[in-house]
Amino acid sequence: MIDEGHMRLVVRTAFVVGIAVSIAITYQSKIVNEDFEIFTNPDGLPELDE
Amino acid sequence: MNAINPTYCEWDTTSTILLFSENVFGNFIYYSHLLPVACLLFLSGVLLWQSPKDPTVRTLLFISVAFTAWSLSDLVLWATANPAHTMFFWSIIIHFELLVYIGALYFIHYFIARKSPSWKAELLVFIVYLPVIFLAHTSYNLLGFDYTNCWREALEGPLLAYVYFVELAIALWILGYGIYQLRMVDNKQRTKEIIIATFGIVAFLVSFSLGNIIGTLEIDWELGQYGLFSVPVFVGILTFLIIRYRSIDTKMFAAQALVGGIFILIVSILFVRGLENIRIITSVTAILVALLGYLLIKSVHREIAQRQKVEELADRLEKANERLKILDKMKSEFVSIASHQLRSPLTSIRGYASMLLEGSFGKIPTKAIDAVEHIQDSSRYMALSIEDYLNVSRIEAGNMRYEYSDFNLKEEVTKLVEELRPMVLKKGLKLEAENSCRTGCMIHADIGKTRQIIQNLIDNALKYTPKGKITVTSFDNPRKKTIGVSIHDTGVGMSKDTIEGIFEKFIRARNANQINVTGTGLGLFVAKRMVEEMGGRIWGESDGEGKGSTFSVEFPLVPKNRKSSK
Repeated sequence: MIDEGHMRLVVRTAFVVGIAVSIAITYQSKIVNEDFEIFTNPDGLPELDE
Repeated sequence: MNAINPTYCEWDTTSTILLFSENVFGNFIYYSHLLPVACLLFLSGVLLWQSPKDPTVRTLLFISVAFTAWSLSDLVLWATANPAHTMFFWSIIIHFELLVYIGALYFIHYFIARKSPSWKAELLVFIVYLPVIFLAHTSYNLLGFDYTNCWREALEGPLLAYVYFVELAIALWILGYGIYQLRMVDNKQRTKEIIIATFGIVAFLVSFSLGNIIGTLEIDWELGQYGLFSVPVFVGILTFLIIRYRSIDTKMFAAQALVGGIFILIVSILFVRGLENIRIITSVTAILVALLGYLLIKSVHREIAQRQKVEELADRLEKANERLKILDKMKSEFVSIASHQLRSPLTSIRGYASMLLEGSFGKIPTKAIDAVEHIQDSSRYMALSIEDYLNVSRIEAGNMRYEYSDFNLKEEVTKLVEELRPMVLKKGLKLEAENSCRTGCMIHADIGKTRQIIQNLIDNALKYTPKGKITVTSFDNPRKKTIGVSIHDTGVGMSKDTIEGIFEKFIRARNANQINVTGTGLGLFVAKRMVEEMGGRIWGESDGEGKGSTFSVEFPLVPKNRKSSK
């Protein structure tokens, strides 16, 4: 017999932990390691928005 | 390390707490982001203050916090010149966006069904959310930073399309749930409640997402900001709903919102540049507002508590009253049934006693005559008492019926006096009938009940008169247009105090016990109720104890509030 309150607690905990870990990994990746691609023009400089 | 030269694009790199920089053009963006945040946090904060355990309020607070996180993250994207910050906040903003939607889903469940979705539904939401958890930091979410122009933007990956799909599914879930619940209820008030809640939450989500959708489709991020301005309106509707249909007191909410709002406004002046010279006055004002506000809220709270207590007591009193009425009805029914059961055997006793005295069963010994006479007298008094009980139960149950007819009161009085004379003479008293009626002495009343009333009064006079005489007089009063009868005796009389309460139920003359008079104390009560229900009047007079009494009854020539005959 599955206890509904118990299962709800498990799902919610997984939710919170999952989101927290995801944000932490994203922080590590984007802020700390700056692990992302930069798309540039062939000359390496952007076109200025007039 | 990515090599980007922000100065080439003339980006402002000196942002304050990531939120404030010259990159954000005009105050419009701040208004569109910070105003809804302030409104949401304020409203949900005050609601939480009022009702901290209400799951609907908690869910609204959850939505407000998720919205605040989303709004501040979005503001950073407007303000920052750092591509790493752009990539980070742009990556995580989908979490907050989805959390607002999930909060809305919980809100509608809590508000309508007063319970959260089932754990299986929660598991489904979690499974659907998993790709976002796993892919938020990857290139499926953001392909990279776009440095081909100077717009400080990220290039979005396929995950965003998935997020929009999930958002649409949640919005449809909410709509479908609201419609489904509408079909289940037949209460008008509840229907209204569900319609407003569903409309409010869906409108909130649409206005919230408008900016993102327009921004993604049209690449015009500024246009989408207008949707955010309507967010406080729909949250206001949800707040109104919670106050209106939940156990939150409007007066208390208004007092807290007023005090909180004024306090926040005054404190915010402290941060306005160029107004440094009035900071002391502003600080003092803020403290005063906080103190007076606290007193105001406390007094409102006390008033509400008192009102609730009065309402609770009134409710209990009403229930007790209802119960008393039921008990009273049961008592009347019991008395009625018991009296009926007693009356039948008593009639037999009286009949047989009478037959014994008349010699129907042969001559009885002289010694036995007294005993049989006692049996007859006692059973007669008992029959009268039972009749009184029956009459009281009929009167209280509203079952007393009157059969009206025109009859001559003087004639009925004469007949009655003749019928009762032997009994009066037997007690050694005189009974006289007089007539001072100058008109026909005709009245319109229930003849049986009228006889019963007069007989009751003569019986009373007989009981309370040890010696002397009883005079029954028919009279009329042309000025008042009434006809009546008075019974005067030379008996024990009554004090003023006794006269005042003599017509009450179970009240007997103070000296009744001294002269060993039997009775229920119901005769005069029944007589008064009968006379009044036939539109007449009854009253008693006496010059004092030992000076005799006079009881009078009068009826109008045309009864004022005649009961219909049934």
